[in-house]
Amino acid sequence: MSKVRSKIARPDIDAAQRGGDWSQRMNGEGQPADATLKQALYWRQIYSEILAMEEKVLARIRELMAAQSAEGRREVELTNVPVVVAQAERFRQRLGYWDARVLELRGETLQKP
Amino acid sequence: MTGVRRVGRRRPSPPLEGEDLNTTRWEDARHWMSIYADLLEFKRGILARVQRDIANLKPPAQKAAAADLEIIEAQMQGYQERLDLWYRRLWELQGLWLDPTGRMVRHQGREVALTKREFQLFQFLLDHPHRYFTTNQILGQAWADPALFPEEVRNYVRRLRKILADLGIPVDLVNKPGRGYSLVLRTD
Repeated sequence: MSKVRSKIARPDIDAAQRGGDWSQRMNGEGQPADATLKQALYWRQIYSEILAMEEKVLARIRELMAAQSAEGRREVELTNVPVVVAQAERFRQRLGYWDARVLELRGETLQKP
Repeated sequence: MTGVRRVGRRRPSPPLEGEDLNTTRWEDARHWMSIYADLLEFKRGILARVQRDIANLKPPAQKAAAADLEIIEAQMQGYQERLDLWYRRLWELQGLWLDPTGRMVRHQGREVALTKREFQLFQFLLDHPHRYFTTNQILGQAWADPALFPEEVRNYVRRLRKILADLGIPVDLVNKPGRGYSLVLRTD
């Protein structure tokens, strides 16, 4: 089988990189620094849920990847995995901001691991 | 005389590493068709998972997660187009030619003239490989005449099956209950 190797535009991967921008907020989401405790708890809950969902999706991707051909697996590694990993990382980061804000408003400090 | 073709298509995804649509080996076409079929199945699995989970999220999170759905759906469309490209390449490599003007079908040296409706049905099913169409969809999309009776579809399917067999084209015109008709490539 002849091999074709070229630099190809992948708008889906570009979208993944955009999705991984940590400063990107959700609709209606304000700055953590200006939030009340109620708002901070709300957004912490939102990010906890969406992060849990992304992690489940990633687990499912890895599960389904096992049944793919070598070519199929490469494609999934190139497209799906970075998309979900970038999104999850962004949600994890923003969850961290809201966690910190909740602790701050409660007068607690974040424990370093 | 023209090869098998489609109109109004979307943009296929870029080729995968090692994929060469100019191959002259039909085994290559079968190989890449199976890869794209698997990738589509994979994406359907992920899409179903995301759609199920997204329903449990609060509205702002649903909106953020919808970006995943858009990406997956766009990728699926791209894979579907590449799968279609490979089907058409496979038909070329198999020596299948269609002449819409004279409504002729030629396969590996054998040739037959089709009626207008036979040709439209065959062209429609070839243009939408590995997809199923109900009787009503065939009436509306293949013939653009929803006023025809469903029995007409069964009649033309029977006639088309005989033509496919006479020409030795390695496909089956299958009918799945609840899904409809589809041209399915024989794997043997």
